[in-house]
Amino acid sequence: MAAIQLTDLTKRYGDHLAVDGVDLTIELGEVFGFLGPNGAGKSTTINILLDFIRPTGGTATVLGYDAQREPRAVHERVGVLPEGYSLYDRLTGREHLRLAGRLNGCSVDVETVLDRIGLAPADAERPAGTYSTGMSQRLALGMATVGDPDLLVLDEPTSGLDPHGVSLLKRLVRAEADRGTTVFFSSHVLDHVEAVCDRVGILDTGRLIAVDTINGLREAVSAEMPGVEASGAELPDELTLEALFELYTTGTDASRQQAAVPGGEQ
Amino acid sequence: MSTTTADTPTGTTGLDRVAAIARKEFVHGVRSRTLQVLLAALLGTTALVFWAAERLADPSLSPVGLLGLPLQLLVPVAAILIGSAAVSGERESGSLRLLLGMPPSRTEVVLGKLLGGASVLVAGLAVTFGWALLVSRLTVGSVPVGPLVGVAIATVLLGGAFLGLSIGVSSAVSTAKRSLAATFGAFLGVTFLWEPLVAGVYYLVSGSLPGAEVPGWLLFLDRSNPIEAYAIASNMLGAAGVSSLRVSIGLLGTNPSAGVAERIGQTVPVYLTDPVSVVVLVGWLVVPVVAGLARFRRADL
Repeated sequence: MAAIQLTDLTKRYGDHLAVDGVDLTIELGEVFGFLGPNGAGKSTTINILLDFIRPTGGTATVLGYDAQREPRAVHERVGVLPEGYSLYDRLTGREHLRLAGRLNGCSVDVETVLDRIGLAPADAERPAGTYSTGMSQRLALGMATVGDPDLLVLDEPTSGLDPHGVSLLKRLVRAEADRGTTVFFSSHVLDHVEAVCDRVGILDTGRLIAVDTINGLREAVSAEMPGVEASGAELPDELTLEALFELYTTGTDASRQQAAVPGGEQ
Repeated sequence: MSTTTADTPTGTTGLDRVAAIARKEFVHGVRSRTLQVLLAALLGTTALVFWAAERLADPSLSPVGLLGLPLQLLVPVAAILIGSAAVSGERESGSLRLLLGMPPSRTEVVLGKLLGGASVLVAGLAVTFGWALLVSRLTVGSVPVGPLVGVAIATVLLGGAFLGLSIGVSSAVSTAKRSLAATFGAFLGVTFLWEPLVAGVYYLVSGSLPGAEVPGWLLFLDRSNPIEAYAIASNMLGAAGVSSLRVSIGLLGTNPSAGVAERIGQTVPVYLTDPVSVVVLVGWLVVPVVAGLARFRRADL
């Protein structure tokens, strides 16, 4: 059983293909980074996994359950940090964690969770409406881990976090992975995923253009980009998303143009 | 597949999840400054009504009948404020994703919202009517327990009707602004436009305005108005003198103050009896929720 299996997954909004025939398998226990610029279709894909939106075509299974036909089974086993979420401004941090416990059917050791997410106990007694973005993000992450999920789905978990928050997130992801949890998270900042991911997938305008390990991508970049080799470095230390995009999108554009030429001449 | 002793799920039932959401909704609701202000307005108005009843000392005026009038404004407004953003507001802000990312289904979220909103409403009305008992003792001297209980039951049903309408609309649309506009529009519609609309239906069917004698279905349409049903239910439940707070300009027959039997010129059919008013109010609660839910379940969020 795969943690996540996408088969020819497609979501169309009118003329716009938000997700365009994506095939992807993520194994159990893997930490997978889902990369791409804003608007690439990352959130749409994740929202289909969570049955927030319904695909136009193809299927998505999560931990062996069909995301659209068996959403409850999925949600009972998955912890989620959704895109564009917000907290209940009149409920305290503690009340949020208690709510997550009640909805997941488990007792929550609030102090342990607070410790794990780096939220001060005094802050947990304040309404979430008074929280900074970083504090809200930590609390939401804490809620996602309640109930010991088999899979964590984190949509842009580093957005709004300061460097300290980012490193805390990386530690949390590592700790969850060490406990055997599969982690699937999206980001538009490569720097945030490369240290923790076993593999990454790159999504561009709805299409999955590359799936590889970080090292695999690094080698591809150094092999294909003469500028990098000319600088004398064996492997680029700074593997940027921009470099990856240049590599993969110009490659596909070139092959597309080549394929188009004979037809165009007729 | 790791295990910890502290937070391993033991499983929940649908009822657990609905109750957890209702509980959250109740706590969030009673902390709302707007609803606190509205409760203060209810308490102030109640005191004012009994004080006025004492000062006027008019035996034909029932204080409880008088109290029924402001309740028909404040309680629908409270229900709309509780319900109209309940689902759409969370959909807009994104907290709905947090909730739906956990085990509850969309249906359970809506039912939890309904239950939680109803608890806020019932708690507010319990305080109001407890206060009314006290104030009536201090002003008019006697405590009209029977009429107050009657109007309290009818008022809970009225609140439920507008709560159901609001949550139904809230489930069907994607932003709080839209659901607020639609539910307030519906409230204004049942208050100001119901009679012309019903008369318009009659005109379409018969080509003229209603005369002295009117068909039963015309009265049924008129009595399907939740505000009208509230007045009927209040009087039926012992709170004599509650009249409906809605605009009526005499379009529905030339003999509007006559009894039902006289207006339709025959014995009263079951659907025009007073207990049907309770069915009407429950219908305003249930039908919009079911319809809104059907749409919400299919929506891309």
